[in-house]
Amino acid sequence: MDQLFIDSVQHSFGSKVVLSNVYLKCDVGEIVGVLGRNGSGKSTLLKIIFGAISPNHKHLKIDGQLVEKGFLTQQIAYLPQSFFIPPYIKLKVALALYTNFYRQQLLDLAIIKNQLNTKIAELSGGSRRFVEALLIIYSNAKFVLLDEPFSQLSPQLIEELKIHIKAMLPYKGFIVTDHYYQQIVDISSQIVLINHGCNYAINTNEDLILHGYLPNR
Amino acid sequence: MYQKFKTLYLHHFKLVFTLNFALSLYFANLFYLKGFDKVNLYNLAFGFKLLGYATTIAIEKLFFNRRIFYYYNLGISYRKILSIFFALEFSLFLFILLCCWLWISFS
Repeated sequence: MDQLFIDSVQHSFGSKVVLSNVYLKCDVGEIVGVLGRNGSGKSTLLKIIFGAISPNHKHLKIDGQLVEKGFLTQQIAYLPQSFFIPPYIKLKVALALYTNFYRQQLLDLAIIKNQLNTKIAELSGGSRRFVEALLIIYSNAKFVLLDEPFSQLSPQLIEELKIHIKAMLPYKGFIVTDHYYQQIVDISSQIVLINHGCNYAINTNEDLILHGYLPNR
Repeated sequence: MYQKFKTLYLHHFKLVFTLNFALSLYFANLFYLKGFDKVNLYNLAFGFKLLGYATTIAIEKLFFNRRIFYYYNLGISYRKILSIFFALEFSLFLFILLCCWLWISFS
């Protein structure tokens, strides 16, 4: 079936309802772009899918199987907004931990090959972000959640990252969220906007203006 | 999975393992000196071992926010990591006590 499906997501922080009846579907070979204003609940939605946050209600299925916590299935990998690999870990150790099937593809890359004995903390901020994103993209997980993968990256690295995402597309489904909305529009096969806790399918830039995501000029 | 756990414990649990292991050795020494027929010593040892595990949880909680996605992306929950750690550490404690008992019995 190769499908991730989440439905009826309801979550609130205290009395503030963040997500209400949100629905999302991602097939292998598909990139779902999630857009939304600051605080709209994009990251919360990804964390709920991953299993790091327990919502008030959700219905998550991977390949037709009901799942309680996504990460326990090892079918979902998540790139958080901030660095997640401890700084004292060497790149070769991180590579051994997170990759298996696609390790050789990473070992062929200069940024990995030349720095295998380098500690993560010794990489520059952009390189560290790029390497962490690569480790997640080339992990064994079938579904990859990327939370602001393009932030901290130079335009050149952004283009490179997009190439890697597309290279793994035949084997994986991606859910990507970022404030660089043009990058999301460029790579996504479907776009979803989270607004006032609900999700809306987006087909054109006019839809983004209509829902108040882009300014009306 | 075995390799993942091995790497995790070798990289992140050295401090808490040393603390718990030192406690185990201390009590093994007490058992060696006082003998294995003191019920209160067993109570004291298990009480302190529990305290050691509570301290381990407290120390790990300090790193929880920083390491949550590091562990979760490996498909491992904190509960599982700590449960296996405590099981291994307690088995080691029992093994050390057994060695002490055998040493006293046959020397």
